[in-house]
Amino acid sequence: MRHSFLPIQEQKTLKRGYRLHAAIVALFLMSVVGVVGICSLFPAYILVSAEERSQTMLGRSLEDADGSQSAVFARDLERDSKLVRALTSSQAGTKPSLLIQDVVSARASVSITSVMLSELSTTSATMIIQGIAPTRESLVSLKTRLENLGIGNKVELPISELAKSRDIPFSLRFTRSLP
Amino acid sequence: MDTRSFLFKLFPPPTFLVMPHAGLDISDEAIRCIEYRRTSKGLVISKHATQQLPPGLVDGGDIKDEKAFVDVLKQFVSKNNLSYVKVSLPEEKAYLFQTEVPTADFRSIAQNIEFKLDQNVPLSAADAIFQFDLMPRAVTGDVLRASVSVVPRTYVEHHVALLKEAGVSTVAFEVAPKAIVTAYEPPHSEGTHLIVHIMKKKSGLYIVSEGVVCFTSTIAWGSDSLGDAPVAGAGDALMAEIGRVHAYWMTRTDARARISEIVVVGSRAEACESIIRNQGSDIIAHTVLPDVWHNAFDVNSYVPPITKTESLEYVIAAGLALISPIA
Repeated sequence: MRHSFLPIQEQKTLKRGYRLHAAIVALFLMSVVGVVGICSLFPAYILVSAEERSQTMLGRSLEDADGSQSAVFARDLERDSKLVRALTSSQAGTKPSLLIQDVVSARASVSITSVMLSELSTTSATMIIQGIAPTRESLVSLKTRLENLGIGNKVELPISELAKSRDIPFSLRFTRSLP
Repeated sequence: MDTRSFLFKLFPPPTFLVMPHAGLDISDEAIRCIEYRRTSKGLVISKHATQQLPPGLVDGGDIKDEKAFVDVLKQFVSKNNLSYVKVSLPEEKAYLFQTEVPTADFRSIAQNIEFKLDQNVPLSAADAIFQFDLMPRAVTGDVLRASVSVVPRTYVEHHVALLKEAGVSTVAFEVAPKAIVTAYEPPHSEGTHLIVHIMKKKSGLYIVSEGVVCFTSTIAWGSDSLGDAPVAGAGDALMAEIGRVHAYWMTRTDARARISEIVVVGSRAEACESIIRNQGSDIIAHTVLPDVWHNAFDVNSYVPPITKTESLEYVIAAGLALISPIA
């Protein structure tokens, strides 16, 4: 190990100069790192900017669409509401299936080939019932049973239907009073 | 190669940070400089120049005409674009002595030497700047001794001011014998050599053991004494001094290391080497002209722009350019 012949003051000046150089180099390196960092982030910045623009445009277009279509949506909604109300009110009255079920339960030995609901109102329901009765008595019994299903029920059975004594095809009109 | 060197080779620091310095040899006859540049293949010479000085401008290390010297130096620095230099100190301006030191601790040795300074040189500690090397055990035996070089503080400060005026910053000074050893002697080499440094008007004789300068002597005989063609008896004065130095070294009680070879450098070193080899074989058998670039690069892989003969005159600058500025 050796001393340097350089005076202490000169050594200090030299060290100060070296530290200054080291600081400059460090700053330069940091600047380079900064520039490289910015350059490497630039593509990402471009992509993000483009995405932001597209999202802004999409949002704006949606806002515009809301303005013009809201009236259409409101009309549709009103119409649907009316339909729902109508359906709800109709469900609150007598269901045709229940009326047909009553007819079927009252048929006994009579064979029914068709039931047609011709009219339906809040007070009455009119059905045309066709079928084949094994005997006159069974047909008359069916008429009686249908009338007995409720107060005010009315069955129109033409007399001609009773011409035959067995396997009598018939067509009657059943008007049922609804509560 | 240690890890640090390997890392620096892989990731070389920027030149601006390295602050590369040139070796500047200011002698009585000329100013010489060498600067190395580190490449992937090792060091190469990036700058080299010689500026002959007018006779008498510098004499024995003393600058006789400061203005003229600064003008010459300023031109030299500007022409070669030098920024930082490590400068040689003439051997005549340095005092060399050896002293026993108590421990191998650097700080303790420095303090010890500082206390003994005025007992060994005609300078007080305040007026002197010194550096030292621990002498090899082969020379001192079991005693721990340091070889101390001392220069006057005023001389160094004056040189720093002149160099600053010339536009160059000084990173360090080194005595000429140490710079020569640094140039050619491999690190950690063993053995003792007598370096004969021939200048035009004078010659320096330095005994170096294991890289440490142990003894110096200067005689007023230079290569100018040889004339155009060396004649018989032209080198008698030099041979006589070599004989005296050799005899002195051999008679020293602590000199256990014999001088194994004479190394000749400087002006007209080849002619002087021939004279020494022919006339001094009875003193020391082995005389050599060293490879000045030994510690810088391999001449088999890189051909320097300086001839072998010229390189012997550049030896001090070559050694100074090698030494790390932070000594």
